[in-house]
Amino acid sequence: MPARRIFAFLVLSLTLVGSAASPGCSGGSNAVDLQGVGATFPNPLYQKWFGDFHSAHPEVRINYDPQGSGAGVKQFTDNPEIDFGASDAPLSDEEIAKVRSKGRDLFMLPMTAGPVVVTYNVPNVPRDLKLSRKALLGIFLGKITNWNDPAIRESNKDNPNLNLPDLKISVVRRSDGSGTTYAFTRHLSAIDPDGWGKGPGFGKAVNWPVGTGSKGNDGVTAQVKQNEGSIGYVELSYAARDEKLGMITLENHAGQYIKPSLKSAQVAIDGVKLPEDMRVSVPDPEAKDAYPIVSFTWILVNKNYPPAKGKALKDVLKYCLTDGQKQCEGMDYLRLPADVARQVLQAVEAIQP
Amino acid sequence: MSETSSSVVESPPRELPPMVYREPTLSERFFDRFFRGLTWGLAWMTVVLVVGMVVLISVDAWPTLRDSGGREFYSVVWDANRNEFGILTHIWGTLYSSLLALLLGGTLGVAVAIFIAEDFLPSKIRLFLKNLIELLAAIPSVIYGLWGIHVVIPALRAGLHYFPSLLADFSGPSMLSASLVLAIMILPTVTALSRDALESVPPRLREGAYGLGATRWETIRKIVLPTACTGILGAIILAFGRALGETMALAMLVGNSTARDNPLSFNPLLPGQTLAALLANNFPEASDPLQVGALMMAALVLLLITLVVNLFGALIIWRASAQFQGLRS
Repeated sequence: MPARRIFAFLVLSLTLVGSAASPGCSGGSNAVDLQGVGATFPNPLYQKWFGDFHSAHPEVRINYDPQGSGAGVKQFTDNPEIDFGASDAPLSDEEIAKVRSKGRDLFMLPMTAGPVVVTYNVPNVPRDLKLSRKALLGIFLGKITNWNDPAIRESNKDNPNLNLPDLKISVVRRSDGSGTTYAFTRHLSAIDPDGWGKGPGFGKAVNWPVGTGSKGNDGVTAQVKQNEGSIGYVELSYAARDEKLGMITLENHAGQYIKPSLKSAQVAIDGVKLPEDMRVSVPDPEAKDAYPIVSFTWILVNKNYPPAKGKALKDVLKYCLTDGQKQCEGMDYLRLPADVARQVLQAVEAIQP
Repeated sequence: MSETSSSVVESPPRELPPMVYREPTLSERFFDRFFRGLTWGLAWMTVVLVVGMVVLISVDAWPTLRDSGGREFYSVVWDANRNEFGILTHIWGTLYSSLLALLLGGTLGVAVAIFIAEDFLPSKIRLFLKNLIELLAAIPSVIYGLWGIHVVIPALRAGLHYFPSLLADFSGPSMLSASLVLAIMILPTVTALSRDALESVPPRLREGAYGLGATRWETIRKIVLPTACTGILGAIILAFGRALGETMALAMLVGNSTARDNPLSFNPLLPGQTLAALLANNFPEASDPLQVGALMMAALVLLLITLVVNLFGALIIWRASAQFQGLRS
């Protein structure tokens, strides 16, 4: 009677699992489940933070579902089951008005930031190819179409050994809506308000003048890697992880050429002033050693919660903004500057449990 | 002999098990009714589901359509920042990539179907081949996409190295890369349904042809294929329906962009866009109601295209099988 035996086994194992699980649960009569939805970019860091917090406070369980920034905003606004959202782009005034129209109010809490790097694949060209702002714009506007263009040579004039090939430039960009695109196009709009700003403009997806679209950071990385002559933009960790990919040294606001790294990106956000609504952005940082393209990412929370949830969420956020910040660098994210973190903490304190 | 047989006749009829005589009990009758009602309800539910989907999507798409007056259908610019939602390039790309895939996959699929159906091989190997090809249908779309990115595109690029003028146009992700992978994805559909059509050709036609002295090749070409052609056509149209709706692999391979100066290009080396890829790429991040409406409209168009194509295919297959009803019996 194998069927019966299997059934018995199932019942037995279920009982065992049940009894094993119950002591854990009985300790957590005040267990709290927090549901979050949002951006994919900070997902690895958030999972680490929430996992670590859960280990220290087993009664608080946090589920973070990285469906994307748009989903984060939408679900946070419309779905009462969702306790917090996350987005790589700050909410627009209309989006905020929509949340308020439901009789709620929200905080947008910057949690971390990361550099967006321009990655390329050109045979025989050393890793640190330089591009001036003009050359970068020209390439992504489709005006510069060959790697031996004078504007690119001009950017690298301090490197006489550089042998730029006669090779067509193929631009690779994201096909899906993304916070990475938002940060990159925000920068291009800031450095060229008349050309790029009035042309494609900025957003999570724009109408690109040139290039092919690939899905996700990994899609862009794969295509740049396989395609000689291609250039694209990704989050730092995707290009830094891969030895075959070069990263462009970009010209910043001060006219300096800066290699992308966590350190140079940290400089970009270190002096930043946090505005009242915390919609902070540095589309074109001014510091001399600052890497020019850096994007923040936000967690969206209500100003009012039921007591148990409110307290748990405040504890989690406090952990992320204090001890949690130490995890950032090891995972290719930027630490919030100390006074920014302090201001965000004040907002967290103001959440009504 | 006869004695025994008569004794059998004379003996009283053997008692049949009482089960057969018994009237169905009340609970059995109730269960029959219940089960009938259940299947009836579930069958109708699928109809309600499809209609409901069309209605809900239309309701969401309506505001965008009303505001724009339908200019989406002839505009080639999709610019969410400026509330421009032209889907003509996506409609074109959907049809073009599917047709291209059909050309490649259809030819290959029918050839494979003939090979498997017309006993060229021992039956064990045939069975193995048939299952192997049907297994292709079980591979998840995203795996096809990855295979396309990491195997098909580099292979195409290597091949095109011999044609430098073509290589200059080749962008990696393109209509060609997408259609090649799509062709393999629709192979199981084409093969399985064409094989059914070929096997349902009445054996007496085949035997008759051999009897008249036709060679195997002549029999296949002049008797079997023409007889099965309606069924094969139906198979191809159903495969077309599948190709139209394919999402993930295409979103990964088609390039999701079009040349500015020539948005409705026939050049398969250039990237393109499809409706399904548009939806996959933009839904997660779409929050503006106008954009969501435009995406819903794209979904509706895709739904209608596939619905029409599938209905057409089903109709042809149905007619094909009805045609042989008389011959087979």
